[in-house]
Amino acid sequence: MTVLAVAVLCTAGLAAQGAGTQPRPGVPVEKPAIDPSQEIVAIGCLVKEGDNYELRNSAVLIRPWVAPGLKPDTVGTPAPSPSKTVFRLMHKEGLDAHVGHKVEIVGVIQPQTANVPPSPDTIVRPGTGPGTASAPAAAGAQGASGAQESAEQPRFVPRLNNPELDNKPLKMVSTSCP
Amino acid sequence: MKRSHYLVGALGIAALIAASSASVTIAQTPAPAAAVTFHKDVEPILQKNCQSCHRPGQIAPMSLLSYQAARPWARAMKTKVVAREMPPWFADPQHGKTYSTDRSLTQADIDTIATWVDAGAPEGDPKDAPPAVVWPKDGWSIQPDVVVRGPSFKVPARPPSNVIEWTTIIVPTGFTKDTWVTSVEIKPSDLQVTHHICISFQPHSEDILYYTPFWNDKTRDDEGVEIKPNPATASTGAPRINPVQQRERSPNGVGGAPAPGNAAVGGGFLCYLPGNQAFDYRPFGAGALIPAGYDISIAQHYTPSGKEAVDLPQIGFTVSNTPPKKRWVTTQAGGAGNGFAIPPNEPNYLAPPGELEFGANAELVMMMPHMHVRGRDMTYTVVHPDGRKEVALSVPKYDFNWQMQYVLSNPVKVAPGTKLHVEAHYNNSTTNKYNPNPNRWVYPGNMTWEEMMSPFFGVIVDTETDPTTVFRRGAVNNGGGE
Repeated sequence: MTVLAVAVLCTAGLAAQGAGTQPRPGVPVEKPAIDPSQEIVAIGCLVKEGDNYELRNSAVLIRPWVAPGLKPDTVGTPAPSPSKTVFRLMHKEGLDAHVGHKVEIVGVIQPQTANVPPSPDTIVRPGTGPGTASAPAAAGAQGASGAQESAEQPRFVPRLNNPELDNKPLKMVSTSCP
Repeated sequence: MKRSHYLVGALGIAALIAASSASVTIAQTPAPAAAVTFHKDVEPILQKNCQSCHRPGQIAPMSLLSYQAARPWARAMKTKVVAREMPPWFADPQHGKTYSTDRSLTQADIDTIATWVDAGAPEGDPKDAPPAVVWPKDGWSIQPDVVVRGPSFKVPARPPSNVIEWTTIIVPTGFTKDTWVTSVEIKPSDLQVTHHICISFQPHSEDILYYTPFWNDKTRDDEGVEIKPNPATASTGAPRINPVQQRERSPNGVGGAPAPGNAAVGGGFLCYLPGNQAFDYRPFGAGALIPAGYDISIAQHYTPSGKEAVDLPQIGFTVSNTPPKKRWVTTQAGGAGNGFAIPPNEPNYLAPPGELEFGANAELVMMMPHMHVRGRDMTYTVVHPDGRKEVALSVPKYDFNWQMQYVLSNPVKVAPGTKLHVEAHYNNSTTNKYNPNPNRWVYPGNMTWEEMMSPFFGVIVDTETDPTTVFRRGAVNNGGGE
C-alpha cells in the first residue's frame, strides 16, 4: 500500500513537473527563437564504393545562427573549410552520373553514434588514413601505434565512424577531382 | 550504479518533492494585509535565488516562475530550504570569501518561505509582484548573439555494460574572422542523457575529419571499469601507473584540457556539467578571442537512460565588436595522474595534490571542482610568492550532482611565481551513499564509477598579456582528466 502510494505521488509529481515544460495536446508548439540551421554544405569528390556513395575530401560550410539585429557577417562571411571528411550519402538517386566529379551537396548530418560493431571502416589504422593527422584527438591519445596490448599498456581500439549525410540533389562543381 | 548519478539525485529530489507537496493544504482565503504572501515576499526570493534553474529548459524538475507553478511545491520548498538542501551551495564560508554565484538563502529568506508555507502559501495581491525577470529564451542562460550547432548524437537505450565511451567530434566554428566572445554556453537538448560536453578551440588543419566521432573501445570488466594493463601490480592492490592513461590526459588528448598556451582561445576548456551554466566573462569586462577559421573540438560523454535518445547540442556566444580590456583564460591545476589510487574502504583518501604556477599578473576569478561519485572535498589555496597562503575556495562536502562555478566577488590578485595548490579527498567507503563498490581499488578513468580530479579555474589578465605566459609551462602537476 505504501509502495503504491509513493508511486502514485511520484507519478503525480513527475506529471506536475512536466506541465511547465512539455507541449500540451492541441497547443501549438512555439518554434524556438534560436534555431540554427542543421544544414551544411559539403564540397568534395563523389566516389562509389560497392553500392554505396561517399563524398570524400569534403570542404564544409556551416552558417552559424546570428541574432536578429546583428550584422549577418558578425562572425564573418560563411566560407568552406577544407577537410578530409568522408560523408556517407543516404540517397543514391542521380549520383551515378557524377562519380569522379567534384560536387557540392547540401544536407543534414544524421545523429552520430559511437556504439557500432568494429569493422575495418571504423578502426583507426595506425600510421595511415584518418588515424594520422586527421584524428589528433583519438590517435594522439593512443600514441602512434593505434590499438595496444602489452603487459604495460591497456587494451583499447581507437575507432571512428564516418558521418552520414541526408543529402539533397547535388550541384556539379567540376568534372575532375583534385 | 552505472547510471548518471545526478539523474538519480534529481529524480530522488523530484520524488521527495512530489511526496511532500502532496500533503499541502490549499489556502483559499486571502491573506491578512501584513501577512507573508507569494508576490510581496516570496517571489523576489525565487527570482534572485531559484528561477535561474527553476524555469522551463533548465535542469530543475519544476518551474517556479509563477504562483500557479510554484504553489503545488510549497511544502517541499520549505522542507528543502530549511534543511539548506536548496538552493545547492557548497562553499565553506569560513575563509572569508564571497561568490557572485552564491545562490544560498539568508536565514531571513528561509524564515520568510517557512512562514509563507505555514500560513497556507497565500498568493497575495498580484500588484505586489516584482517585475518579472526577462530570462533568455529557449532555456538559454545567456542570450546568445551567435549559435553554432554541435554534432547530434544518438544515445542507445542499453549499450553493452551500460557504457558509452567518451567521443570526440570536431566541427567548424564557421567564424571566418577573428571574433571576441564575451560569454559561452554549451546547451544540450537532452539533459537526461548528457553527462558532460566539453569544448576547446583548435587551429584548423586541412586534413581534419569533421563531424566524425572518434573514441576508444576499451576493455572493461563486469562493472564497466577499465581493465588496466599490469596484472602483477594489480593483484597486490598497489597503485598502477598507466603511461597510456597519462597520454590520454595530455594536452589536446581525448577530452583533455588545452595546452596552457592555448587555454585562452575562446576562454579555454569549457564544459557543460550538471549544475554548471554558461561561462560569462562580461561581469569582469573580459572576453576571449576565437581566431578566424578555428575549429571546435567537442568531447561528449553520454549516459544511457534505458530509452534511446538523440541529443542536439548547441554552442552559444555573446560577441563584442571591440577587444575587451581583459582576457579570460580557463584551465585546471593538475589532476588525477601518477600515483592516484584509492584503496578499498578508504573513507578519506588524499589524492596527489594538483599545483600550477603563474607566470604573469592575473586575477583568479572562478573555480569549478570536478570529481566523480567518490569525491569528498576540494580546496583551492593560493600560495603567494612571499609564502602567504590564501584559501580561495573550500568545498567540504562535494556533490557530483551539482558541479557549479564558484565566481569570486573579489578576485584574488596573483603575481608571477604565485602557485595555485589544490587538494582533494575521496570517500571509497560504505559511508558514501553514492559509492558503487567500496571493496575495490579506484583509479583515474572516464566513467563516473572511476575517478577524476579536475580543479578547473578561470583567471583574467590584461588583454595585452601574452596568453602563453600566464601559466609557466611545465609547472602543472600531473594532467587531470575531465
